[in-house]
Amino acid sequence: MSPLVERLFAWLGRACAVLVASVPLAAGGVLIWLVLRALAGAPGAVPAGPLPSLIAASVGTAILAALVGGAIGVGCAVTAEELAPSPMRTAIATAIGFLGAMPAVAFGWFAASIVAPAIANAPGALAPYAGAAAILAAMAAPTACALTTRALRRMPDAIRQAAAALGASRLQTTVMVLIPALRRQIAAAGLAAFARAVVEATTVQTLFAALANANGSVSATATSWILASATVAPSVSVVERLAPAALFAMLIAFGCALLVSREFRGLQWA
Amino acid sequence: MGVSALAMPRDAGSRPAAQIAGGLLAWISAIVVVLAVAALIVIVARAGWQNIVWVFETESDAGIGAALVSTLAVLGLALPPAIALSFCAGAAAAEPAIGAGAGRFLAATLRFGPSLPSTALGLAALGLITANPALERSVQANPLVAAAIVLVALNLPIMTARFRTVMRAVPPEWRVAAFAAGAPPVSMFFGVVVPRAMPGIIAVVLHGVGQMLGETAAVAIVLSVSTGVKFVNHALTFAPAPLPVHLWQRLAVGHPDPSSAPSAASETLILLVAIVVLRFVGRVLARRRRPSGAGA
Repeated sequence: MSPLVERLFAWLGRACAVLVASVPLAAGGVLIWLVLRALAGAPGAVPAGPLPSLIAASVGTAILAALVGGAIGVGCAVTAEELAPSPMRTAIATAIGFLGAMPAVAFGWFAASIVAPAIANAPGALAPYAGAAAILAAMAAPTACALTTRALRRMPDAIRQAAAALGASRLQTTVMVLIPALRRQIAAAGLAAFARAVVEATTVQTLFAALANANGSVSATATSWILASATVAPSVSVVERLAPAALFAMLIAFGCALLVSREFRGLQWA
Repeated sequence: MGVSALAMPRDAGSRPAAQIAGGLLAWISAIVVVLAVAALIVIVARAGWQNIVWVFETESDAGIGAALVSTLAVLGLALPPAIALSFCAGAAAAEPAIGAGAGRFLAATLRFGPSLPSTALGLAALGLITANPALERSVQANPLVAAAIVLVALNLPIMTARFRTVMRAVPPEWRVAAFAAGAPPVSMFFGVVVPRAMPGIIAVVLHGVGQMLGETAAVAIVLSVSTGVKFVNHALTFAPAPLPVHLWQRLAVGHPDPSSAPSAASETLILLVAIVVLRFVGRVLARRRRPSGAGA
């Protein structure tokens, strides 16, 4: 390879690196610009409106989904990596991989076809959010499973062998040694599941639309509100009204990602 | 943490109930997931298969055929630039000799960039489009190009992070050996790292295809500028939406027609089959192309 080609590829790589790095920063910059422009156009033009309640709905639903989905994901990872025999491991990995690869709109079909009819007649205003949390838990479980699997695989075999030398069974080693040792990583996996659930829009909006058609209920989370409003009436004023909710979703996602990456980068066993 | 993990708890044998409960919970989680996925596959296959021929045959206006064509068009427009840009950026992030300061900057943003929510990106794009009438006219004229650009922007950080991961998985000894033999950085990268990382690179590309194939929110938000989601599929003269957006419109826009439920099931089945096939092909290709010593 000639020196010119060497140099060209290096510069191309650097240019692409700057371009890729600028995508999330640019998206955040545009959202901040939209919020500031709305505020500058007319003081108080960005009404708090439903935003606090939407954020509360988003966070509450995502916490419930992360608790359930995180526990399921961690359980699957522990079973597949430490406890199950080989054929069962394959079945678990395939099933969780299938859930992880499923697009949000396919979850939306299940939400509209199965979950919505099941909870349409349930009493209480929180029933739609419980249904959303159930679907989001299924979406968040693969995230928690993948991170826990990674943490378990990075655990040196010497730990398992030391426990076995002391007479511990595989179950004892898992429950009494591995899980306590990985509690920070498991918490980070739960946080990643929360981040996955809190930004999800398509599935939740599909469920809420199906429920609205079935029983007239009006439910929304921050991101489902963005999707529903932006697609029905795309205009400058609507975008400015939705920008704070999008900024909230982005900040939550970025904050959780930073915390999770910090925890998983720090997993060093010297 | 390491020290505490190495020490076997003194009362390890005295808490059988906790051990059994922990193991039982893990097993129950795994069994629930396996059974739930099996049930989901059966449900969608039963609901979708009955109408799949009808769905293909009667599609002049609300069609899955048009949706598939536009899906392929968007993928065709979005994939090449996404793969090329993220591959080069991944190389810069994985190889300090190539990326230098830009690579370090990218590596820092990759800690959070891949988690960019699609609704946030879609709304930012919509904000730019609606604020600029010329851009809005351009999007109305070329909606699929706009959808492809949004897909590229959304997937660039994710694909770059994955490329970097598979490239960094190549053991550093290979690089050291190449440098010791006098290879310059880019020659070392293409001669040593890329062949070793080829199975991972194929997997990243197919993951990217799957991700783009299933993306809904950002594309739906941007496409709403061009036609309004309620009219997207009324005629082929309107820009048809990609399959996931088309499915989402059936399910969630306005007052969904109950008679379209079988079509929605068929579309879900097609989407899932496409993604499962992609994953299978990815695995097969990755196994076939694994060079000797790749797992070292």
